[in-house]
Amino acid sequence: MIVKIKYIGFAFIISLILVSCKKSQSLQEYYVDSQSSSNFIAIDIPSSFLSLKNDDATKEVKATLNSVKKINFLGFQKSEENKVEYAEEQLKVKKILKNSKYKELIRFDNENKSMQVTYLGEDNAIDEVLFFGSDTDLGFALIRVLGNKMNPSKMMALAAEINVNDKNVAIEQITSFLGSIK
Amino acid sequence: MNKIIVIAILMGSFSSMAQTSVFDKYDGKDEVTTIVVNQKMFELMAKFGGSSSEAKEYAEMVGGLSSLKVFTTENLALASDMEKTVNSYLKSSKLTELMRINDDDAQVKIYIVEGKDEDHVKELLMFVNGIKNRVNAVEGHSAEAVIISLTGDIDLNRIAELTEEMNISGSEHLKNAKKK
Repeated sequence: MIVKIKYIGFAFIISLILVSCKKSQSLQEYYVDSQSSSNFIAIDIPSSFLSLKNDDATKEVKATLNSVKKINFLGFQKSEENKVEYAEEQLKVKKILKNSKYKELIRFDNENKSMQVTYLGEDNAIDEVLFFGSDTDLGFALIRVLGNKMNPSKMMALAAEINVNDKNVAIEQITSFLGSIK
Repeated sequence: MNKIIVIAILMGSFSSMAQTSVFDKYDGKDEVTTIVVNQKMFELMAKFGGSSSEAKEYAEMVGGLSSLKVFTTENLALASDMEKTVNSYLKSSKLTELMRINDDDAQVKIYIVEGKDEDHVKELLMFVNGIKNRVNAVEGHSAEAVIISLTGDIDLNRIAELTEEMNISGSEHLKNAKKK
């Protein structure tokens, strides 16, 4: 009898683990799936494209820049034709973010606009920062900053110092896209 | 053995519920504006503060906060539902009324849970209901209902600085939220 109960308990735990690991679409998969769609703009920026505004930046800032590996950008430009897809895709992303292991920092949400910042990793050594912003008139954007043990408070200092190599058309697109969201 | 497993499972489910609040049902609802700020963000804001003594004090105040949730609506039905939720939450929790303001624009109620000393509270709940006065609402001044729920180590004397900086509607009333 005791053995039987043990088995039941064991099976229960296993099933619990299996349920919690149930495979739903991950963000990475979403990126890959969406890159081929014409509604999306997908751009990968390696950190070598990022430079500092002035060379005499502190060592700390330089070290922070080195902790960034690359930036992934995925944008959905909304138009008259893709209204339905916009709603679908936006729901998908929100669902992924809700179910994922990303830890939320801040979120703002209303009918027309939304913004959220989440991260992955330990408190002072972040592996990934994710920004998601949407606007019913413009579309939405997902920006992933991938790195290795990035320090969040130092990242904020870096953001002020950074200068994106603006000869690149793709990056111009992003900046104008982001500018329009603001 | 089995008891331990059951307890462990129960503990697990409780700990995952720790972050939720009774107001989460308004999160993401149509016609509701939601703002959520988590502890980690407050810690970051605190680290990023300047070096002046004023900035340090501000950083200290912000660093003590553990969560901020704001739900705003202009929908009449949702506003009355919010009022019901607030009232039932008040019955089930240890919140006591700090102050109540009735003016032409809105009805404001602020509730607290006592903290470590006179100036600090552990939880602060503010409910603004301006929808009842919609008829009188001045043009450009949208009538709305606002729930602000704050937890952590909250300095009553300074909390208005934060909410004002974030441009949360109704936060001007928090300025007066000082214990006598």
